[in-house]
Amino acid sequence: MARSRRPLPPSALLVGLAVATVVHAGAIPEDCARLGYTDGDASTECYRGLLLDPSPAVQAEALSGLGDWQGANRAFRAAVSAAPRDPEVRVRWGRLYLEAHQDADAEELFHEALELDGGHIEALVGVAEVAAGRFDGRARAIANSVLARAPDHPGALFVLAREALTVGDVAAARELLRPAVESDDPGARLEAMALLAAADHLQGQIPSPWTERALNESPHHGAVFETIAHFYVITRRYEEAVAMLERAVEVDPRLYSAHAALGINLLRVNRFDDAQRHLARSFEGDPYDHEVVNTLRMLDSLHRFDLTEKAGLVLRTHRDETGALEGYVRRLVIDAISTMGARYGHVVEEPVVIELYPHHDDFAVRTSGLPGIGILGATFGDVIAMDSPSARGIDDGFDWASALWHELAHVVTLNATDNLVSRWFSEGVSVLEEWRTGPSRSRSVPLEFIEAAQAGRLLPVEELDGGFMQPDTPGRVALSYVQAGLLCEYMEDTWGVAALGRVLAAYADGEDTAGAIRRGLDLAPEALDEAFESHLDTRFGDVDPDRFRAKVRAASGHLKAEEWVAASEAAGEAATIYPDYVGPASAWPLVAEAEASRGRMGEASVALTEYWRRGGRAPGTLRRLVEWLRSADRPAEALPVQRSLALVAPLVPEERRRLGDFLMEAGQYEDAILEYEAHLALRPHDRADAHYRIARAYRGADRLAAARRHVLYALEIAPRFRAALALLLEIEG
Amino acid sequence: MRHAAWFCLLSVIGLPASAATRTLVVSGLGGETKYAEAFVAIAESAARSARGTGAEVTLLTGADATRESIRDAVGELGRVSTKEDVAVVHLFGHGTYDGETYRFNVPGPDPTDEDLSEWLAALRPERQLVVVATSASGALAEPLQRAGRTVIAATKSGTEQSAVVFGDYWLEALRAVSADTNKDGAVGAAEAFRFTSAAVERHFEARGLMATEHPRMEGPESAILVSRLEPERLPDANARRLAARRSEIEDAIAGLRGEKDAMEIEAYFARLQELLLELALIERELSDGS
Repeated sequence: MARSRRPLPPSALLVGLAVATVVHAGAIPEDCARLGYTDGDASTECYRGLLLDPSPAVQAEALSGLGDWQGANRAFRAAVSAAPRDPEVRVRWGRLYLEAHQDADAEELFHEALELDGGHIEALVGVAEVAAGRFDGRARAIANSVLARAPDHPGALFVLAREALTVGDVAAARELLRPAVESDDPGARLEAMALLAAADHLQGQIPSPWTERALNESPHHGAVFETIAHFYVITRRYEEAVAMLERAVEVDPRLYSAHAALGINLLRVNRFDDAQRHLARSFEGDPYDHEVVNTLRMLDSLHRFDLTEKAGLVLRTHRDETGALEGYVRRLVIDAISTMGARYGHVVEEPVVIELYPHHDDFAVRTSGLPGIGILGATFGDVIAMDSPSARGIDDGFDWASALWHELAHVVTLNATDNLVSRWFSEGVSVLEEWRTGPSRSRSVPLEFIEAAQAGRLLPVEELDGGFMQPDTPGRVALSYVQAGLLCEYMEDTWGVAALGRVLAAYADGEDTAGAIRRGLDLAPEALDEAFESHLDTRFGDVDPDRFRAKVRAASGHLKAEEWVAASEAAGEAATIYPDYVGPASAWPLVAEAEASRGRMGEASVALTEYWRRGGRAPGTLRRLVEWLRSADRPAEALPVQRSLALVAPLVPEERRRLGDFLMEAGQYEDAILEYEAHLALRPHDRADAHYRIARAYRGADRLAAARRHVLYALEIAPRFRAALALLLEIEG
Repeated sequence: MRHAAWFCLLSVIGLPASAATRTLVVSGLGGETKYAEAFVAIAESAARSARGTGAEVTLLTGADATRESIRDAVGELGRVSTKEDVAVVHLFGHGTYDGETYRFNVPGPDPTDEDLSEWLAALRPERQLVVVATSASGALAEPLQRAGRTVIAATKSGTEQSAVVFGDYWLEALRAVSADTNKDGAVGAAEAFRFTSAAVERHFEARGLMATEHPRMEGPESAILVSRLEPERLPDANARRLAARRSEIEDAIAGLRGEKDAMEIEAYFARLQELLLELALIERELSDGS
């Protein structure tokens, strides 16, 4: 949401205070604000004049208008003390907090105002704006309640118009904006023009006449471009957003919110140096924007990152992790792009940029201002930013390789449609690819989704974008991911993968969801909803989540009481109810534990193998399975499990070394080299031994020069290393 | 293991013929039974490992590990040692620090940092190792420092007062092949310290816990042996000749490593390979002769 107020530097305020005269005698804050659209200097003078007003509320407005937010805050506090029962002052104070990017504080003040006057229109509008800023679907209901009492209230209309544009309902937005564009209030007029210009851009009507009209009225009104950019951002068209934001700061170089947005979005198109410049400019003018501060902090930390550019991949990784992750990332990218390229008939030609952040906060700043983003990763065209495996582990539910696979599917769908693909379809394809072609292939649909489906709480396909962009409940985004995935899976199973390609092509041609479904499936969206509902009923109708949970609880209780047979039976029943569930309370490890406790290691291994085959990836469980299989002299079966283990825990040196050892046994020397080199990159305690293992793998692969070099590295550290000395003699014949 | 036969003898070459390693191992009060038993087990194991290196060992545990007995044992160590000898002291157990004074918890009065500093000052050997595997042991790192003495503490300061896991991993280091990073068949103090430090760090990381201990090592990088992984055998004349040559090659490799930065990298590795090939042949001959 564009916020175009421009704080002045403190020195300007001091000068202003020293020479303040009542230039605009009898003016009120709104007059000064009005002047700001055409004559910034006159507006400043007007506000300076108001500093002499005896009312602390007016002084607060003046200080706010001059950009002295700290002073304004103090003045508002005094104003509230002076008039504690006046909701108006609290609302005004709340708007100051909105300007200062402190939405939670603003919301609190709006609610305080509503406690004093439950029907306070401006307070309700404030609450709606805060909700809309968070992509909270309740914004619409609040705005509608305002319009029920004040039908032409521009603030409420703008909230609704923005909401309509967010989900692509351009016609509704235009209708809502019609009265405001003729308003006497220049601020309302300009806001309406900006939103109408955004509507034009969303429909490809470029250049928009509304842009010119807004600039004619207010030549430095960069906010018009900032507003257009906002809608490009939320529809993931970052190059276009950047172009608009560059225009915004060109028209108004002191529009710090646009500098901030420009900086953040330049990162999304991999222009880090330009981003740094604009973020710094924003911080100079507005040091209160925490997103800017956090992003600048993230950029400061980048000197500890490696930038590796090789054959179709640009990889930005922390220098402590590059050696361990690069091999896996490269392999995943190559596999994903070729696999999905074949499935969807689209090959990504541009290099993919992947950023892996060891600190979640550094990833989080990259997604600021975006709706419905999962906490796993984000794709900006060809740029993927996500947590590295060290930020969160598989124990926290973070399967980084599957998350990367998911994001790579976005690269394909975004690239194939020039970013025009709908949100739900892009997410659906990504989830489907995780399940069907990804590294873990877990199809563990959460029990909460099954309950929602059984209760008829899913969204029609035409409203599914809203599940991401305007969630009506806190769990809606998570449900929408699964629903979209299942829907795409159903489409593939029913009409073939080519149908998904046709839907994608329709989006590329600018179709909306209804059009894309009709073209791809030769079916009306309502018919798809009906068929999908029936499919879900068939698939999950017999799954009783409560009974599953009860059986799992019973099995856990029996295990605790060392009642192995009862535990095995209860866990077995749970596994029968829902075999695909491999989340934290999966039945399979319980079956395995019970069977192992009875000494039935074969049955225990079978249970854990089921868990692994269905995508279960808890490292402790997989480690146990590997041990059991190795103990049973089944190394060939242990090897793929150890591969999964090393992939989900790629920064654990022992897992990489162990996989290397198993691969050596299996004669897979090239893969062993990758594992051993990753092990060395993780700085193991025994570096001579790490080099020796690499040398052995190179020797096995008949790459003698590299083998010689590594055995020399090992002996350089530990000249008495007998095995390495023997290998050196062997290499030298 | 045949290969081990000659490999370990070099670890004692370089010390005067009369030099001896004299080790005192003490386990303090455990408080709870589990700690008491663990401390005794660690101390006994450390004592066994020290004996395996050829050291003369005094072990004090349980009721025998009083302030007076520790004082007397250190005093005895001082009396019988020469400056050519090596003195090693291990303290396992609980320690406390009140902001001024460190105390090693034993039955009866506790020895303090001042006591330990004073008693250890009487030791004559020029090479000394003091390992304090107790909570708050970082408080001793500075007071116990002196020329030629390596001090290893389980914590970075006296303020880290939780029961430490350092001792458990130190014990592991005495047995782990991977602790022997220079592959000489024995574990030196610095090797054991690095292995233990890494294991302590992993211990807390793996459990998602904030680390409550940060081991530290002060003083010279110590190669004093704390454990031998392979048994020592007596060499014959030919083996002594080969071992002497091996020693010369190792010196040459050490010298070459010192010149690495000033050399062309290919020339460096060519020369290194030449030396290592000779070393490999000697090793093979030694192995064949054992």
